[in-house]
Amino acid sequence: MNNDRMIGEGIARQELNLLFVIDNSGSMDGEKLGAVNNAIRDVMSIMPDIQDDTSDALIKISALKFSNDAEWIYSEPKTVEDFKWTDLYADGGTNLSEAYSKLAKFLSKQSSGGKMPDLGGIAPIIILMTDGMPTSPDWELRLESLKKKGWFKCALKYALAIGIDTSEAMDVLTKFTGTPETVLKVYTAEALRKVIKIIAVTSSKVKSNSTRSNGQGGTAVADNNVVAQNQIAEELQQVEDVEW
Amino acid sequence: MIDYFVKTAIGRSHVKNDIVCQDFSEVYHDEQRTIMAVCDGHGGEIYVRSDRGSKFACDAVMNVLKEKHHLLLYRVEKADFINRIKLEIMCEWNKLVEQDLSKHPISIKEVAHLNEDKQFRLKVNPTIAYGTTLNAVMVLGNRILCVSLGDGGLFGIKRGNVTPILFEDDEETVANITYSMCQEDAFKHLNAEIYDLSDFSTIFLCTDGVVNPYQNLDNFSKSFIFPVLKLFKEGNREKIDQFITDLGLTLGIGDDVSLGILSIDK
Repeated sequence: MNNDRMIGEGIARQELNLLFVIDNSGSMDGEKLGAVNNAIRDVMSIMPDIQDDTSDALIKISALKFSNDAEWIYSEPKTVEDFKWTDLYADGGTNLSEAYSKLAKFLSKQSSGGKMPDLGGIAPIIILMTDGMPTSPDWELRLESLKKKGWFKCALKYALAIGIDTSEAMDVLTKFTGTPETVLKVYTAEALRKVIKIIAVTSSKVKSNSTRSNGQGGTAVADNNVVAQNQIAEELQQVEDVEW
Repeated sequence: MIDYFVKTAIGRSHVKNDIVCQDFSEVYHDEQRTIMAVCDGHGGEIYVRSDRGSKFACDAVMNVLKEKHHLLLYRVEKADFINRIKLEIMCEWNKLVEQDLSKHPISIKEVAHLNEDKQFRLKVNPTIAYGTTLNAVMVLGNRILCVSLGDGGLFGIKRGNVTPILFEDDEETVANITYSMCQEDAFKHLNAEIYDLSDFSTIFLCTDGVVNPYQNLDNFSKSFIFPVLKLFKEGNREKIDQFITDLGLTLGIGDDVSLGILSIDK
């Protein structure tokens, strides 16, 4: 029996994971990816205040970029203090399949090699940003695997369609979020910057105060997602060139 | 010889939001048996009577298990016995809920803060208001009966190893989402098993407010179970008592906390 530790040690705050999933394929070059880079810098300048306002949750941030392949910017989720943004550059195809696989791995429990806690925890926030159709043919198959993860099911999911207008491409994103209500069409760089900031900041504020127990079917998780969605919708009214 | 400890403490988020403690724990001990239960009423806003639900779950366990003669453990087929126990606990909990509802129907005031959809759900099925988990243990003769539904859990200790008992660990149950006594298929998720007295030297019964701050079983074992067990063996119950209070009010995740320790000295 290991009695080295004292009572009161090993207690951790619940972690709220904010995940950016960013398309940096060739078509994102220029204003689009520039706006994403700027938006994440904006978000990161505000996050310390949000972290200071919540004592119950520790906000952790991760970013997954995907083009020909998918890669985490940092191998481990970072605290607000430690997350430093380095600009992304555009190149290659839109391998959404690999992004979904990496996301599924992340959203597994730690005992299964993932980053999410085995016990307890807060439903994460996932923001997917892309400007086109996937170039990887099996993205739907990978999405099905991703959807089996409990952490994905309860996550607050947003998808930003950057300059996309085809119903086919919108359908890809609706399949990811599970509802058209959280798929946003964004037409300008300035709007994109504002939208990313509103979603990331508002959802972090709401969900970092949602550590209470949930009950059957995760009622409180669902309630918190709805509260966050409503607040985000309200703030988005003030942004031009956005449609949802 | 059986030794035990049980404690429930309110969480700081409940104090802050002026919500009653929704956990409940209970112990019964006589010459023949020791029964212990810790139950966690859900925190979601629709569960407007989950504090009563968790008490009724403890009461249901006590009412059913106190009546069981130890010879049943040997004479009846194990699977039949387990199924009977599960069914009786479910029926007893539902009976207590129905009695409460008939004496005190859910009032408009209780549901005023809920949206129409939730009010409708409660109108159709008021049992939802009492949603709770259930974790219980009975030591009877040379057998240990364990019963569990929902999160938190039972942890058996033997020779320095911690074993989760009746744990439904999968990629589905995350973020404090738990099975509940109030759901229609609760019987399917109510697990029970009979163990020999020699299988465990101590059993910890915990609600999720105790377990979740530790994030994984290894950390929970090393940082909570072993240090608390050491204090328990030293007879330092006051310190455990104070720690559970602190875990609820300051150290933990803000949720209510309940801990039961049942030690079997053979």
